[in-house]
Amino acid sequence: MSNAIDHLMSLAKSVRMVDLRFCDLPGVWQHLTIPVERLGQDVIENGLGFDGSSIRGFKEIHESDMLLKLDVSTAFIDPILEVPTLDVICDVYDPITLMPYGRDPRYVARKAEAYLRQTGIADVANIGPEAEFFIFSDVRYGYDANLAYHRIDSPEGWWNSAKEESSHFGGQIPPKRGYSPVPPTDSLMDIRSKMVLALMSAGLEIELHHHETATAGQSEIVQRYEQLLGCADSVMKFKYIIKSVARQNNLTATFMPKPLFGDNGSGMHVHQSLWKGGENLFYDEAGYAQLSDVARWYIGGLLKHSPALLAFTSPTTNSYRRLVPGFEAPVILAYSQRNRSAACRIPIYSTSPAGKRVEFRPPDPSCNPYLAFSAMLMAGLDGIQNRIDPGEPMDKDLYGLPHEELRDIPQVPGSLMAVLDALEADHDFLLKGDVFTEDLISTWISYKRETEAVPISLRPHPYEFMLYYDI
Amino acid sequence: MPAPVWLDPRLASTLQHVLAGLPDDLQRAGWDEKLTGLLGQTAHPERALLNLATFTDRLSDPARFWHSATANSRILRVLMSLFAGSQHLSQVLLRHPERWPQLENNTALRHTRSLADYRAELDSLIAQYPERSALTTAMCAWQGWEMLRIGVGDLAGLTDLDTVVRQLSNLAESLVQACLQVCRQGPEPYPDGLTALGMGKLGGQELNYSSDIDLVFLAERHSQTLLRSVEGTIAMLSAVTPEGFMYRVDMRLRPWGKSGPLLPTRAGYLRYLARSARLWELQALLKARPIAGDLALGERFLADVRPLMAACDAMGIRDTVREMKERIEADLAERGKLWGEVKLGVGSIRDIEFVAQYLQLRHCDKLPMLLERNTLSALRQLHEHTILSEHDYRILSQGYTFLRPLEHYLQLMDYHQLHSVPQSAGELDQLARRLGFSGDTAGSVLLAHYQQHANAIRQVFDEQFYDKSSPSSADAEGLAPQVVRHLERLSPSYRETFTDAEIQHHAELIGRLRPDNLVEIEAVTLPSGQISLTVVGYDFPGELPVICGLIRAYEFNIEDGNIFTYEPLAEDEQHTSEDSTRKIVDVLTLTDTLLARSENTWQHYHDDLEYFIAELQAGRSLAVHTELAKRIAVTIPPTSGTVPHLQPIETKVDNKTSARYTMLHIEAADTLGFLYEVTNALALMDFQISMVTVDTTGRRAHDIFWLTDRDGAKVTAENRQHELTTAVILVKHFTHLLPHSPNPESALLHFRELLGELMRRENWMHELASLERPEVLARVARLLGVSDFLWDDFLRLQYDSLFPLVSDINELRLVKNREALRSELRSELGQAQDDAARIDALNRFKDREIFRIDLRHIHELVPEFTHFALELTDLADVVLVEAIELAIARVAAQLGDAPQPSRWCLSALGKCGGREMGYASDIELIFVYEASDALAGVFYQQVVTELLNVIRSRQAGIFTIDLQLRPYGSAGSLAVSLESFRTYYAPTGPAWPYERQALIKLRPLAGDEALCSTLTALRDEYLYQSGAVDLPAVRAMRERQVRNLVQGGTINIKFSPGGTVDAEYLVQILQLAYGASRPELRRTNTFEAIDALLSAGLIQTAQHNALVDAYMLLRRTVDALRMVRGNTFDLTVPEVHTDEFAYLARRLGLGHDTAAYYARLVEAIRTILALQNSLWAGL
Repeated sequence: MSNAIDHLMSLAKSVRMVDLRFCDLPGVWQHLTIPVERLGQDVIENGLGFDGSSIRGFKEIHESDMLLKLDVSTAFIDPILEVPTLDVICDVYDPITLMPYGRDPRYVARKAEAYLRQTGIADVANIGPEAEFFIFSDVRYGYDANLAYHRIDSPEGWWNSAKEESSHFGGQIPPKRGYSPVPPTDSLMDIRSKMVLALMSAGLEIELHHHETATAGQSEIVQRYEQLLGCADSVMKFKYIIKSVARQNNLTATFMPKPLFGDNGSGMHVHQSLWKGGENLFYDEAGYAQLSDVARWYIGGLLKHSPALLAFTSPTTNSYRRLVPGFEAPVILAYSQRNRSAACRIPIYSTSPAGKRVEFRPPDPSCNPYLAFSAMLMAGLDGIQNRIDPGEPMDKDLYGLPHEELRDIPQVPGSLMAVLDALEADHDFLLKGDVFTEDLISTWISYKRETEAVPISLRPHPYEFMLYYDI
Repeated sequence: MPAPVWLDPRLASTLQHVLAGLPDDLQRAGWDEKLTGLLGQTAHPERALLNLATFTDRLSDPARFWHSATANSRILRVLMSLFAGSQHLSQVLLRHPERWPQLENNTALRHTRSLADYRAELDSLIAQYPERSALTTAMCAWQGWEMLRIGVGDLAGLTDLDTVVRQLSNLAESLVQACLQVCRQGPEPYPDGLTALGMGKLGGQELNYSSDIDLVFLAERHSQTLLRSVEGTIAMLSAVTPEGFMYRVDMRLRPWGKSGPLLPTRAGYLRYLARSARLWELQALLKARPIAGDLALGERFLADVRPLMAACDAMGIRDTVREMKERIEADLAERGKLWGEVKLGVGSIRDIEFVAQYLQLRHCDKLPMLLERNTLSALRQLHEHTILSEHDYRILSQGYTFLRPLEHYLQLMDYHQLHSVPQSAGELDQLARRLGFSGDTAGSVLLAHYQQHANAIRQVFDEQFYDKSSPSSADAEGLAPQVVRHLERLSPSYRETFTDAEIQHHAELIGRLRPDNLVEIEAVTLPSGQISLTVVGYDFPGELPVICGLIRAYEFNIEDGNIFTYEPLAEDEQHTSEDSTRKIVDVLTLTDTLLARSENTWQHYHDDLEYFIAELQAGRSLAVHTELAKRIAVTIPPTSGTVPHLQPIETKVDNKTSARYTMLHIEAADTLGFLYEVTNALALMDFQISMVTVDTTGRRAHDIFWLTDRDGAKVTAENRQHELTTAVILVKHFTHLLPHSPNPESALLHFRELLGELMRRENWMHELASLERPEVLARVARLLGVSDFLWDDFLRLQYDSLFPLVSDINELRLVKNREALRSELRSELGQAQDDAARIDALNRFKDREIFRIDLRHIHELVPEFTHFALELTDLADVVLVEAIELAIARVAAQLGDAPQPSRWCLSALGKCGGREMGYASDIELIFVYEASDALAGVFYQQVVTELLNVIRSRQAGIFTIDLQLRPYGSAGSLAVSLESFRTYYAPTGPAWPYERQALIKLRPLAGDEALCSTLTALRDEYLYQSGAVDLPAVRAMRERQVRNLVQGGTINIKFSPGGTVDAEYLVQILQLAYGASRPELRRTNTFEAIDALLSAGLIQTAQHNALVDAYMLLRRTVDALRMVRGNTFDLTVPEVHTDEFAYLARRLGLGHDTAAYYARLVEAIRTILALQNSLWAGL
């Protein structure tokens, strides 16, 4: 601990501001900034009070005071801001009892990691998320009683290929053709490289980056797997830096899962493996796709709890515009070595024991990574504890299946409402070890229903005018 | 091996995987099958299997475990109940699988560990781990294992609720102390005044498994240093580590709740209580207990709080508590959780706590000793100070003892704060089985018990918190008169009997009849004080007995009367007449046997009559007669003493006077209910009564019946006339004797049934001949009134035996000793031609003799209660000896010339073993053989199976052979090898303590003498040794019985605290405790053992007598209850105000004094509990 404090203080020497960051319930970073001079023993030991009442999903007004305590091991020099700033990720506490706040997503992730060890199954859960995103040059939207509108643009957008106003050089990418011609077709390589450099300077390890399938700037930067809590922290940094670098370059990046009609959406496939004593528990040379029983049971847990799980991993109404058959969307609750339409895939790039992992494909980057990763781990652990057999792998093209055959294979639910209902009905696996609490789950469900699902269902959709205006 | 039924096919490979892990030698020894059986017996076989698989996978040397576990399979049982009962605690073991040997030791599991024990261990941990986070993890690990130890003792049924909650509280208390010590920022032990108050269940030393712990810290003065200590302590207690966390700490009970300062000062806190606190905050402080830090400071604070409690307004408290509960329930209702919420719902733990706390606060100003923190202690105090009645105390304390383990077992599974009874049948069944309920209906039985408790608790709660509202009496519908005339349908004698005015009036009454107004009555008081009752109505079969019976039930006597019925219409008239229905006109003169009457009597009579007639019309005549018999019975004054002589009766059949009817004249002394019974009997025999006149002069009555036979013609056949007169005589006699019956109600009902049965028989006249003798009829009346149970026996199965038995008094007086029984049985068996006939003969003999002994008992021909038991046991012995020989012969024959294998011994256990059988006892047996070769097991297995075929029990539970008390219960072999008897029951063996204790009753019945002696010697060796007494296990066992077998809010004479089981356990524990050095205590019979304890000077004469009296009363009550209920299962004492209870009192010779009987029962129960407390104190 004292080493970490020393490191923090040495980083602090080169900055003017210290930014304290924490995650709200839906999964967006919030912050408070102090001049570096205030960073002393008092703040480090006792934290900093703040008003939690306006933070989404936190307390109500009448008990608004909360406390941020610095996780000094997370400090990094902000790669974006002009004024030299040290960013520190914080945990949220009750200011009087000094007990961790039950709805702090980081606390959930901490408890999930502890629970993993408590089960004796493994000591480490490695998580490797692949958050996809779009980079646009323009976005505008509006909604009123008499108007509904959104418009996005990108020089790469296929819809611009015949546009009259400006000159073109064939820079548009046809739908689903973005993966992965070299520049100049890929017009975003430099911007992605800048993003990668910023990410690396903030401490992330990056494996590669590339243009993704969709037209209009869909991108992917692959971060290296990490242990659960650290990985979720990294996702927060990732989204912050990607969006910020885009903005600095007069572009805009979005992690919303399905901004474009008619082309691929952005997912966040999550690679997962459990390790004990430095050994990957998911590897067994003799198993199907070199998967161990533990890995198969883990898959069994993921598949069994998928409907509820999606309430955390794919938690927006927009998520379900992505999770529809087609566009490589992983809507089928099955697992497969090769097939990308199965919810669980076993990547076969690597045959080494260390590389053996399960890839869960329904999640998307609109999730709160702390909650999503914890929930997936809990589902997998439940599978292991109950030796849930995932059945036979589906190594055929699931989309190519005749309709009748497809009907017998369960699919993910089709709406946010449906997964929230599923979560309400199936969440005992999340409560084990007090990792999730009833309070958090019921708050999550009512927040998502009241502020997202219901408002969407109340509003006429522009496409409805096309369908029905003349009716 | 076929897949067991419980196995989810998806787990088949897991089972295979576990079994494949068994070492080869164990597989050869059949352990794979045994293990599968043990798994199947658990509350949740699949969960148990999964955990067992994970457990064995994680062991470094599974073979060592398997060998050790099968050599002494106690660990297997412990692990099974753990793995099926608690996922959370299983997790603790799965984290540290190599620690399993620590769960092998029963003594360590049930050992109650004190606060000091815990502190000592924590101190050494603190010394061992100087670094805070490592220490926290170590403390979590330590706490987890201790939870596991407590939980396993609980799940395995080794510890009772009190032991469990006290240890859980000690554990939490020691950890709070240790954390406070570690986190101290100043000198120990907080001389500067910092204390932690345990609130809620921690304060009451009644913590549950998955509690938040409620804490309030308190300092003498403001101090940042002390505040840091408190913050650190809370952080440590709730820190999440790889070994879990210690507690969810709830600090919200401090002044100003969530927003209040964490560390109030004593003065500030008191000021807050005086000025700003809500009443419920004072109520919460009832449970506050200083548990860590400066305890004296805490006590000083509480001493200052008590006057505030004493001063609070009782009614204000009542309102507050009621409103609080209403709010809680409204909230639950909103979340759809009102039902089945054991902690907060309707009839919940909270109801009990609130009643206790309200009464404590209300009365503590005068009775400061009421301020107990522990709920059960508080209830006890409230009861002892007569603030809670015996009844309410029993409901609340038993309800609490029922609900708390329910809550525990809900929480134990996943360590969640679950408080709701599961709604799904599957989960409910699993919960029930974890709680020790068994069978297919486990879940629904649990549910029923829960509902009974909840209802009873809620009733007490409502009485305390709501003013009982008086039930509003519904207004009876007024009569709607309407005049229609019809008269010409009656016989000419009708006109002769009544004046024109009367006839006119009858016609008017008849005009008011309609389908929704079946009967009209009019009662007029005559100048003589007698009452003239006119009843007109539609005619229904069986109506006359109802009219007469109801008059009897209203306690009027019929002195005179004229009963007329409309003549049937001729066929051609039916089409022309407006109304072809037949009607009745009855005019009766009554005398009142009561001094005072309510003015509504006749209105009630009318309503009752109409109700009964409607029931008759609906075809529910059995229900009508049951109800009527009940109502008549209560009016019959009990008479004791000798059977009165029968009065002469004159009857005459006259076929000449009337052209249309047979006239039957009866002259005899007036008897109660005669008209009811005789009209009843005539209806049963299909005689149709058209008119009756009744004329009573003095005590003699002259009745004339105008009858036709079932075809509407006169009764002309001679045998039919004979039947008529005989039945009437029988009825007359019976009603004469009715007041002598212990239960007139069932006598009346049964008599009706008897007549029906009798008259269906070919030559019943002949059989009745003996009944005309008064002593025989008296015996029948007694028998009929005593027992539904015997009645069923008699009517359905023993009909042939009844008359010989009841008519031959000498046969009944005979005491048949074993020899007599044996030779009689053998001669009957000798006459049988083949095995099937022999089996029939054996069972016939058994049933007849049981019935005979029962009759002897009923007729008080058995000199003492204990003799009755001896007679039944002798019979059982004799029958079993022949039965086992028969079984062996049959198996030998089936197997051809199988060699007569080795030695065997059939022994009785339980009531039969103790020679203390009663009505409807079952027979517990164990069959042991000495294995000469591998075939012996197969052979004797079949012998025992055959024995079960040979002995048939006519009714479930009665003389049923029960072989449960064998190694591994239903999972074990029916026949037990001597070897497995030894390994199982030896003190180091896997037998549960209660199973071993059951051997105390072992008594060999048949077989090889030497082997029999070996068994008794082994019994004595295993039982009577020092340290054999395991009181926590006995208490835990009893608690389970009470929970699972006693209906909420009732006394079960056998299983309730202080019931016969407690008396028997009391004696057995003393036998075990002292039997090692005093062989004379080793008795199988309870009364003999009590006497032996007296002779040995281990109990005083007064204690001896009190125990014998109490136990005897309870045993006799058991017998009486079984007799009256006709089944062996339900030994719940009926409510005091019920007929059934009144019957018990009569049966036990206490006449009508039900209150005295109830008092004696309660006293007996108390005596047994008090004796148990004092006599076990030194053990």
